[in-house]
Amino acid sequence: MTLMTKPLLKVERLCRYFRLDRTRVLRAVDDVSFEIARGEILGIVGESGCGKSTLGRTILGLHPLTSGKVLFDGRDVHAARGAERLRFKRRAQIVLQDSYESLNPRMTIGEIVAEGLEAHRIVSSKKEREGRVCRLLERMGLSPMFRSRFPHELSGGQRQRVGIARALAVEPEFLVCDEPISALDVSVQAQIVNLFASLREELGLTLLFIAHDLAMVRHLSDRVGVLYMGGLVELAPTSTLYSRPLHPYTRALLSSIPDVDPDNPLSGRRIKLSGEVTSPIGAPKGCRFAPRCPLVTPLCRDTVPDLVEAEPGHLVACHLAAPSE
Amino acid sequence: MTMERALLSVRDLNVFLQSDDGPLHVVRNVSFDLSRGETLVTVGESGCGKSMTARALMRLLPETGDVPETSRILCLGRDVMRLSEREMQSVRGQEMAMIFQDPSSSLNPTLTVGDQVEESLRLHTPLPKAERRGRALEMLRAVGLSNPELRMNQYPHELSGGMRQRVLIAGALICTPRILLADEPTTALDVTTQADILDLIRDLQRRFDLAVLLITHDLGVAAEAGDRIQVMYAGEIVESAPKRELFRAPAHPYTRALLRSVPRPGEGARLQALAGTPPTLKLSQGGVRCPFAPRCDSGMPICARAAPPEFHVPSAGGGEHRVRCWLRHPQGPEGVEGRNGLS
Repeated sequence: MTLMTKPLLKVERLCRYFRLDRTRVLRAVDDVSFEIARGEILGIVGESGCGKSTLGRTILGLHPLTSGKVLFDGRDVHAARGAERLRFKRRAQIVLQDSYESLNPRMTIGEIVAEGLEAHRIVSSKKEREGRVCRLLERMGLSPMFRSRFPHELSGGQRQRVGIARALAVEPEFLVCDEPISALDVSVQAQIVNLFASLREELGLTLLFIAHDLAMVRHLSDRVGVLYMGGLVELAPTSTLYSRPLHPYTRALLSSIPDVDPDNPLSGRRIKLSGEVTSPIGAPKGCRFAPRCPLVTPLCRDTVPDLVEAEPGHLVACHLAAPSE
Repeated sequence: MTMERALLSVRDLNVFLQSDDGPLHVVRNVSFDLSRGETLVTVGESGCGKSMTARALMRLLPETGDVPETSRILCLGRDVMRLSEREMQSVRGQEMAMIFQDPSSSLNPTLTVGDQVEESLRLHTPLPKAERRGRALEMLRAVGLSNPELRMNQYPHELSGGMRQRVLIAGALICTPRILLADEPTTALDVTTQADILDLIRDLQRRFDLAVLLITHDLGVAAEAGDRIQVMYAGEIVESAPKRELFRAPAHPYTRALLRSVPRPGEGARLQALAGTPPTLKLSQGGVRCPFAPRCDSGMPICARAAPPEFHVPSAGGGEHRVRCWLRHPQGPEGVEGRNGLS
């Protein structure tokens, strides 16, 4: 997919560090590179604190970057100023996890959805604005009556639909979805995931879908990247990643998902990791995963593995999974 | 449903709560037994009453909570409803202990790990301090906390989420209760840590001969941890069955819909989502019809007119399988006599 078309988004050796004090630096995102093709859904999975939210925000320019580059349709996102920056903001939007905190409690649903329309001067009259808001809400499966309600009057699933309507109001091409379903109940999660899938089909949206729920990511994404302590450790087409994971961390992660099939118990297939996640503070010596890796070798403790193509389209950062093996 | 062998027996439990919108009936005629050494899982979505059920068992309801006299909770043969608050305190911790979803807010940030783990011993036993410390250390080791001597003197903020949940479990089990109520114990944790904690609960269950009531919204966790599963919807237990039976042959349309909404490998692009939202639990509603009727894909006219009683489902693998659904009326479409539908 990526080889056929020019990527819509290109992330090159992106780093986002936070300086904690004079001596300590937290490497939230460390040397991450990938591309997303137009119309593609790229899933990013990882456990809490792995840097996946920071990655999403840095890509959109909501965080400054420490080094590296983000190219959107060939243009440098972080170098854009003025009108160009505004244009980018219209083309790329974000949907956040907690729709309760991300919607202004004092604004009505109608005002929230219309905010972007006004900021980008997309509508010229009040009538046009109201019409667009109604159509958006209906497309999200919400009655236009919701226009006059406030966020607290809605359920979690309804609020998440409002969050998506707000993002889509300015007709973006690219959406970063940061844990958009993790606060929702199982049956509602399925509704929202279906909504994303149909939006992609109808509008040709490109999605960066960040989540910790590996099953939902699998369902929705074309390709999936695995983030561990700020670094991308594996990236592959979805079916490949889930059927033939190469990185020991990906394997451990996949083996820990409880299955709804009671005849496939975790105890029989699980790869246990030793120890807790180590700190992302300071420069890593060797592979980030080495302290917990069941297959660790002296080389791993000493040299950081590069992200290399182990088979066509399947990238992995592990000395043991390198193609020379 | 024999009452003798059960450690915990619940009959017709009802819980009412006062809210800003008026009185709510959050737990509705819930009955179940928990036997020695077994894990019973309550599955349901947010607001279905699963946590309030567990809190009622411990008599830890919010201040506005009310349990009518007709509700019966027998814990090791004692009627929990009739105990004084003082007697209840000895039940909590020594007979029945509870752990919660968020280990950070259940631990006191100003006390060291050691102090919190030994707290129950201080309240319930005359053991001297040195002995209490020894037991606490032993317990921290039992829950697999690394470097327990060091952890004893640390504060909760110095520990990861997984470690905090281990500390909470150690504190809950230190007075060797027979029953552990675990309310979403892994929901706030990462998937690898979740698997560790589920392992730990299973291991401790064997070692301490515990009966576990596990509450979760995650069907995967239920499949992993449970012996029996009961599904709650709108304050009621709508289906209960041995684990395999429930996953292989779910009888309630809600259970079926929940199972369908979980993504599985190799399926098409669309998940089969359940439309709509659960009903509110306002007092006036309920009783007159099946609470799931408005969302049900196999509803019949009767469903909107009368609440279904509980029916037995013939079970393939043995064990009791019960469901509250008119489809399973002996003469209903899926009933044992399997004739025409009810009108």
